[in-house]
Formats: sequence, structure tokens, C-alpha cells
Amino acid sequence: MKAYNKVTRKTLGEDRIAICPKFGCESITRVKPLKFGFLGFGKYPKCKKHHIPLVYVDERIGDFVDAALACLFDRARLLPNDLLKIISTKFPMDLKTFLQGWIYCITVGRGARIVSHYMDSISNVYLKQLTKKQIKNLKKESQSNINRISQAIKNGMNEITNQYTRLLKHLRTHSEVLIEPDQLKPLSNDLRKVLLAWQKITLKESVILHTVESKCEIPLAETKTYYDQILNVGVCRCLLGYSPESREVQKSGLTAFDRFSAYYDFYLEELTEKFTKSDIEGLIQINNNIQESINKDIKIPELLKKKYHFLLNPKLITAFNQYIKHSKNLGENKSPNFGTRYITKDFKNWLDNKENSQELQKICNSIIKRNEIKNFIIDLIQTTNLNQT
Amino acid sequence: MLNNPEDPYLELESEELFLEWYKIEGVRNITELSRQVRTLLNYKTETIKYRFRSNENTSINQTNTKFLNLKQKFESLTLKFIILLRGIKETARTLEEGIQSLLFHSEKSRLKMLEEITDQIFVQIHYFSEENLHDHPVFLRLLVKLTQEACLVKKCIITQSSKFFEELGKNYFNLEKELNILIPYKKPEEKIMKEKLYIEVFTS
Repeated sequence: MKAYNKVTRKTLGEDRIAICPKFGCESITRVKPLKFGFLGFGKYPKCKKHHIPLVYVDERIGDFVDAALACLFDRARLLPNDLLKIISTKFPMDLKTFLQGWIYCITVGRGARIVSHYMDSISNVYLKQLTKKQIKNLKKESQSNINRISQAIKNGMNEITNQYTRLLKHLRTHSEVLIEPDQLKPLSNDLRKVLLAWQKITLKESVILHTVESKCEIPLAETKTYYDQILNVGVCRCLLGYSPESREVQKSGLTAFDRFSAYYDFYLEELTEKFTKSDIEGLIQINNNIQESINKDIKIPELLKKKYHFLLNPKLITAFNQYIKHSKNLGENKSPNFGTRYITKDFKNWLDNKENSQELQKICNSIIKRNEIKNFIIDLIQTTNLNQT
Repeated sequence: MLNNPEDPYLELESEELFLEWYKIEGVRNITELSRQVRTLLNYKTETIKYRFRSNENTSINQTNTKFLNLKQKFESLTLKFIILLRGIKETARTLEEGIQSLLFHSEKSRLKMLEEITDQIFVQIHYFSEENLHDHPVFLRLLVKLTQEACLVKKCIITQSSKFFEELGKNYFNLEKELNILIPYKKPEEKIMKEKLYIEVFTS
């Protein structure tokens, strides 16, 4: 665990501002050096509310940003395992879209917006604690120009500004290195339904866990699981086009400060690690393997061939291959894949313009109506070992 | 004059006043940074909401008259801001150079005006960031574009936070690129009509 420069009046050279290390606690005070280095009470000032030693504010604000970044870019929870499993089995073709969307929403979804509230409160209280002597020094350095005075705010104020800039840099790097905006696509309606159901269930579990945790102590790693779940729900809500903060979380009394405070503990205990581009590439590779297996090495069992005979209609397959050629001749990048996008609107329009295609159109309509392609893929994954690839 | 070194009482009063003024200014500056971060993240959130919107989400349009009135006022303020920036840019190669030359030649009145308008623009930009802008995507993009200019002004004027505003501007630049992909530019109807007329005249 990181050793703080705990506030001690013995070695203090000049007045400094100290704060309670508990995030969200606004207990902040000006600490004076002891007279002659030994005279005076309260040699190690503590927070009156939490009874823990105070720390210097300009050091603490950096820690807070560390905690916030650890929370926003945590590798362990890049994607919840249960959700990954559901999507890779039920929507293998949508996995890449989903993954890219998830990474895109991660900063906002995990609560980047609330970081500024805490930094704001520290900054304001810090300014109120400046001594007349410190102000006088500033006055000597400064002229009547406001900008000059701003420049004269050294120590904590400069640190606060630097930390804000650091946060922005991380946010920018995230969007520049890890996201390709032109690759982002809206989610399908079926996937949206699954996400809605997942977030409802997860949220219920998390709120129950939170109430249990507040009553008795549980290990830090376990605590992290449900904090992660709540944050993941935030990301999920973003993907659904909602605000990341749900009413349920707000009602549970789990404040933003609680979250960052907990994440700071996880960070100190090395339970968090920042994710990198190679982590994301690894996930995409898994998805590619699944798709390749579906597209190329597919061996359809006889049972399924019989069950889904209309999908494997030779006329339909020929028409589909012709359509792919047609798309390629037009120079379109999006060639239709086998899977959920098999019968697209474009394919149907193309079919409409084709002569003697009434029979094929009927087959297509019945497939769409009964959602047969999705059923076929699920059956295929369950009967073969695609799941493991 | 308040700051009289011969009079200890006035000296004390001056110090008290300075202390108060300093606190207000300091708090103002640092609160500004915090608000700026929040505003950027609000715009990011709105972009996400727009990107992943469903039909259900967009059915409730919460536009109110206050919003529309402010939008109208903001448009006239934006016009003022752009005219002022254009004027500054005329004398230099880039806008940044133009603002720096204002600082160098200490053209106080123009500088003050620029600072005031930029502050007003930022206040409005923050207000709009909390107003469900995913229902107004084109306006959202306009705001993001405008904020980049405002960031540039702040970067030049407030030297203590210049790196912060530079970084903020870069974040907005990325957001604008993203919005340009997301919201295709539409030709105004008038222009389309003119083009049609033009084609008709020359083909008939």
C-alpha cells in the first residue's frame, strides 16, 4: 500500500492544506508548524469525522485522478464475462459491433462525468483555506492583472490544473487509439432486448450485494465484482441510448464518491490494471475466430440440414452468390455475410428486381417471419463445438 | 485610494478586499476547469445517446420555449463572436497569432470584449450541454465546433491553464470528427431548389 505523507506538524516548514483521505469527505484544514518544532497539541492532525490521519491536498488530488483512471480503464472488466458468453453464442455476428460499442462507451458509462464534481469540491475548499500570509505573498508577486495572479497560484492550484489536463489527455488518447468511429454501428433490436434484460438482472443483484456489503465486511476482490457490475450497467445503458446513471443505483445510496473511493482501494491493492489496445485486439481475434468458423469450416449436421432445408435451398444459395458478385461489382464494401445479415433489405430489393423470383421471395419472407436464421445459428453452435473456438 | 501604505487601517481594509477578490477569482478559475470537463463529458454523453438512440428514446422530445429562446439569443451571440474573431484574424496569419498580437500590443478594449464574449459563449455552451441535445444533432455539432474556437481563445488568454484548454480543444476536435461521420451534412433546401432550377434551365 502506498505510504502517504501523513500530515505531521513536527516537520512542517510552512502552513499547508490537509484533507481527509476519504473521498467525498470535505474535512479540510490549514495545518501550522509546531512552535520551535515541539510546542503545541495535535501533532498528527486527524479527520474529526473519520478519525484517520489527514493528507496533503496537492498530493491527494493526484491520487484521486489515479483512482478515477483505474476505474475508467480497468482491464479486468473490459467486458463482463456473462454478457460476452451470451452474445458470442446468440449473436456471434454482432459481437464485433458490440465490442467496439462497449469500448466506445466505457469512459462515459463508467462515470467519467462525476469525476469533476469531486475535484471541484476539493478545489473550492482549498481556496478558502489560503492564509492571509499566503495571499500577501501572492499579492507581492502579482500585478493588477488577473492572469498574473492566476499564474501566481502555485502549489495546489497548479497541481489541480495539471490533474485536470491529465484526465483530458487520457480521455483523448482513449478515443484516438482505441476507437474507430467509422466502425461503430447501431445494435440490432434483438441484441438491445438482451442488453435490457441483462442490465435489469445485474442491477438487482448489485443493489442486493451493496446492502449486504454495508452490513458486513466482505473481501475486497468480491466487493470489486459488484462495483464493476454497477459500472458495467452504466456502459450497457449508454449502448442502449440512455443516461449511464440509473434510478436504481441512485436510490441504493451508492454515491460517486463511494465508487471512486472503492476503486482507489482496488488500485492500491493492485486489483486493477489499465487495458491496452492489444487486450481489445485479443477480444476481436476471438470474435474473428468464431466468424471464420461459421463462414468457412462449417459442417452442417444432417439433422440440421433436414430441419432447416429451406435455408439451404440451392436456388437461394445461387441467388445469394449472384448478389455477392453484384455487390462487389458495384464496389460496395459491405458484402453480405452468412448469418443474421443473410437476408438484408438490399438483398430483398435486388431480388424484387429479378425476374421469376417469386418463389425465392416467398422463402425469404417465411425465413424472416420465423426468425429462422437466428434459430439455425443457435442450433448450429449448440450442436457443433463452435462455442469453444 | 485604498492601498495607502501610510495608513495601517486602510492597508488592512485593502488586504481584506484583496483576499475576498482573490478568493472569488481563484474559485472562478478553478470552477471553470471543472465545469469545462463536465461540459465535454456531457457532449460526449449526448453524442452516445444520439448514436445508440432507438425509436422509443426519441419519441419524447423535451424541447421547451426557454431552450428555443436561448438558442435564438445564442445564435446572435455566436454571430458577434465570429465577427470579432474574423476581425482579429484579418491582421494575422492565424487566429492564435491574432490574439497573441492583441496581448502583445495590449489592446485592452478588444481583449476585454473578446474575453467577455468567450465567457458568455462558454456559459451558454454549458447550459446547452445539459439540455438533451441528442434531439438536436445539428445544433450539437455546431456547438462542438464553436467550442473549439472558444478553447483557442482561452488557451491564448489564460496562460496558467493554456495546456488544459489546448487539450480540451483537441478533445472537441475529435468529437467533431466523430459527429461529422454520424450526422451527414444536408444541403439547405433552397440550394437544392436552385440546383434543380439550374439543371432544368440548361437541359430544356
